[in-house]
Parts: sequence; structure tokens; C-alpha cells
Amino acid sequence: MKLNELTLKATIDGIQGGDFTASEMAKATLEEIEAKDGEIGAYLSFNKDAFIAGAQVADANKASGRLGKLGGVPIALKDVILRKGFPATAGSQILKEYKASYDATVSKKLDEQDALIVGKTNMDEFSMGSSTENSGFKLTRNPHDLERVPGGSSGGSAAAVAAHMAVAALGSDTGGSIRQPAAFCGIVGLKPTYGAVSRYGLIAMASSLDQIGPMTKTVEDAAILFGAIAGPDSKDATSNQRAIYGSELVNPNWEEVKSLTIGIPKEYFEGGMDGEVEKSLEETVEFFKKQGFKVKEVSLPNTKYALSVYYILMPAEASTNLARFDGMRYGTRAEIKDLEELYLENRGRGFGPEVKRRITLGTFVLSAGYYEAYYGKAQRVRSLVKEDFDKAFDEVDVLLAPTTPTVAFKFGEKSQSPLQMYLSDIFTIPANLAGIPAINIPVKGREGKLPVGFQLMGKPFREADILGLGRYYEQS
Amino acid sequence: MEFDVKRYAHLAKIRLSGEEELKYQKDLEEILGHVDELRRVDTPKVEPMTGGTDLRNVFRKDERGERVEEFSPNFPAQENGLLKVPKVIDHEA
Repeated sequence: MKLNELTLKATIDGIQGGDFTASEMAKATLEEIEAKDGEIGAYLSFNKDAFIAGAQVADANKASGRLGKLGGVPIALKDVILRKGFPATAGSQILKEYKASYDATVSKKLDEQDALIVGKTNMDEFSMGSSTENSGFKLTRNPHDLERVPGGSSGGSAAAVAAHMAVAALGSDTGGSIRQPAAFCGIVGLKPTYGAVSRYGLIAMASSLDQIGPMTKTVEDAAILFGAIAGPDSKDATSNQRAIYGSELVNPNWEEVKSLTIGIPKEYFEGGMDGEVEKSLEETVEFFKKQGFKVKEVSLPNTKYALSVYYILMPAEASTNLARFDGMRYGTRAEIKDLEELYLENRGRGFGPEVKRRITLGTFVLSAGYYEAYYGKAQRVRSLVKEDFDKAFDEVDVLLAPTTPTVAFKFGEKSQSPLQMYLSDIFTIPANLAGIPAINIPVKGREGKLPVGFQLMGKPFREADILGLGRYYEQS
Repeated sequence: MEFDVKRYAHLAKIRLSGEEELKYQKDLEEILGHVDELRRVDTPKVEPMTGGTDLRNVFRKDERGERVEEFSPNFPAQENGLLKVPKVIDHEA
């Protein structure tokens, strides 16, 4: 086994135990990127010198007994997360010249623990998409089948981990952008509780929904990386004081895990899934039943409206957040005298099709005369979606559902119809609306076939439940 | 409902080509047709959910954080250490 194929946990143990050095790990990762990334296209940029220098610092810290908890682990960042001095394009031509002037809180936390930031990964422009085909720069291919998409919007991060071009990665999830690509690429992806991880230094799409989270090879790795980036942050007013996690994240209390009641939300299983996905999900439910878990059917009746709520609230918030990209602050500015002409020109040329569609839609739903009928209505139905979850969590501890309706699709298969593409996120959006944690876990026993994932959703700030249950499945 | 993509793209300060107008008009009509299902949901007594979770006010001192030298390299135009923007007031005195 090559070093870069190790899990995050094995990397930490190997470096801490002196079996290999951070520099050796960095070298193996670079070799893999040089051999494979021309074909896969996971990275938009990487800084080889900074990566190697970081590994040398980690090795020096190891020698002096000061190595951080993530010492020497190569981690890729979705290109929407700021890393000082590195490009941060958010997958958009409008930011192609931009270099981050400060570190995101998560980047700083990775630094403090001696992780090695490999580079910045490809994504759908401003995180808008489910296939990474909306990147303003290039396609990313699914390492399991190069004719298929890796999912999105964190498709570059998912592909980098699946192809061992990073031991782990960070992505961001607004309606499924961590979990859906994780499912398509056969890796683990955790969307934390809203407010659990600081969004400072994350280029915002929809601020009431966005969360940064780990994308890893195992559930254990996701627990370690999540623990390393979580916590309240004075620089993000929406980060939450409850986001304090104990050792149970990484060292589950197995007795408690075994006593969890698993809810099966029936609406998620009533059609909409491909046969192959449905069969895998049934096997997974069967697994937990056979292991003696209490499994109970529950109902989330308003979940069917989640997609509609999302496609009003998200564009509304995005149209507001993306108003700052006006040609004044970043990038190049067209030489035009008239101010309105300047805006129209910069934004018309700088944004790609999906971004223009969503900004226009968001402007419409927020406009005088339509605000209450669309935006106001969607906020009320969002309350109903959340109440459904609150009620379900009175009866059960964790919900088990599919992550995606299909396996990874082919390039171009859904890019003609935005609505068809949006339906890829039908099972992942509700967790964002409710603000609850949710994780994708690959269904086992699918070697040689396209990956299928299942999703566990938990109570707010109970990541330990879904991580613990996920690890139970992974290790059995 | 009459949705006119030209009007809202213009309000959002985005120039669309004729081809884009036709395509987005059709795409957005399809999306709006789908989200219209929310009209069927009864919500007279439901409070709107206006954010993520547990939001409360957070205060901090109004202190300078980033230094201008750190972010100015990203600014498209500068002169004598100052950030330059197009002239927007052009009235005769």
C-alpha cells in the first residue's frame, strides 16, 4: 500500500509513531497528483513549495515533540475556503485573479494542528451545482468511472480523496454539496449542524444553510477531522456556543450507540430512487435490524416541499451575497465610464449560466410584490420542515435515508435541465433547511460497481450519534 | 404570474444576451412552476424560519481588523496607495 492510500487515522498514527515522516507522506501524495490529476482534474491549484515546506515544519515539530494532532496529514480545501496567499476562485472566472488576504478559521485550525494543505479543489461555480460541471474552469471526473461526474458542488474534494490525491478534504454543503459528491465517489462526507463549524473565510452562497465539513475515507476520519475544525468562533456570529464536543466523537460509547433508535422516514422511500440505490438501502436497513437495533418508521410529511423551499431561499440569499461581485473590489475592471454599464458588463461576463440564473431568480423572489408570496412563504414552510424533524426526534435518535436518488450520472446527462439537476439533491436538502447534522456513508460490498451511499441524520449538535452509528456499520 | 427575466436580470445588474434571455426565461418558468406547489401549503399560523438555528445578537468592538495593504493587491485599480473607483458624481457645479 502506498502511503497516500492510508486513512487519516493511520497517517496520524504512522507519523506520530515514527513509521514514516510527513515529508514522505507529502512526496507520495505529490506523486499521485502528478500521475493522476491530469486525467481526473480534482485540483484547481496547488502550491507544491508550500506543501513540501509544511511537511518539513511538521517533521521538525515531531523531532522536538510538538507535533499537532493532524501532524503531516495532507488535506485538500474546496476552492471556496480561504487560505492566505492562495487563490480562492469559488470556481468562478469573476475571481480568477483573486488571492486570499486572510485565512478562514478552518484553515487556521488545520495549520495550528500541523495539517498540510495540499491545494484548492474544483467545484461548481459559487457552489451552485450537483456535478461540478458548472465550474468556470474545467471538468472533474469521477475516479470510479471517468465518463461520469463526481457530483457537486464539492466534486474536486470528493475526487481528490477517492483517488488518494489527498488523505482528506474539506468541502461545503448548502443543499447536499458535501454528501452528494461523497456518495458518488464512495467516500464519507459530513455536513455538521448549522453553527458547529465557523463559516469565517468561506465564500458565502446561502448564509442560513452553508456549512463546512470533512470529506474522508472512513467515518472515524470524519470524526477526527470534524473534531479538529468544530467550535464557536467570535468571527462568525452564526457559530454556536453549543458546538463543544467531547471525546465521544472520536471514541464512541458503544453501549450508547447500540441503544440508539433508528427512524426510517417513509417519505424518503416512496419512489424516486433507482432500483440499485433502493436495493442497497434495503440491505442497510436490514443490517441494522439484524444487529438488534430498534428500527422504527417515522413520517416527515412536509419533506416533499423541501426542494421548493430551497429553490426560493437559496437563490434569494445567493443573490444578496453575490451582489459584492461588481467589478469594484476584485479582479479586473472593464474600462467603462457609466457605472451601470460597468456593473452589467462585469457581472454579465464574469458569472456563468447557473449563477446568473440563480441570482435572477433570487432577485425575483425578493422583489416588491412577490416577496411575501415566494420568500415569506418559503420561510414559513421551512418552519414546517424543521418541525417535522423535531417531532421525529422525539421518537427516534437518528434517521436513516438515501443520500442520492441515483448513482453518479454521465457528463451532460442533466446539464440541459436545471430542474432535473436540482432533483439530485432531493434527499439532502431537508437537513440543511432544518440545520441538523447529516453524513453520507458508502454502502459496503459494492467493489467494482459504482458507489451508493446512505445518509444518517441526527439531532442538532449530536454528530456523535451519527458518527458512532456510522462507525458501527463501517467496522462490522 | 408574469415573470420577465429581462426585468429581474436588469435589477440584479446582469447583462444577458438574447440567447440567454430565451433560455433562462424558459428555465426559470419551469422552476417557478415547480415551487408554486407551496401555495397549497396552509401556513396562516406558522412563524417564518429566518435563519439557521438559535440565533442571537453577537457584539464586538468596532476595531480595525485586516490592514489595507493585505487586501489591496486584489483591488483592480489603485493610485498613490489609495483604492480607486470610477467617478459616480458627475454634476456641473
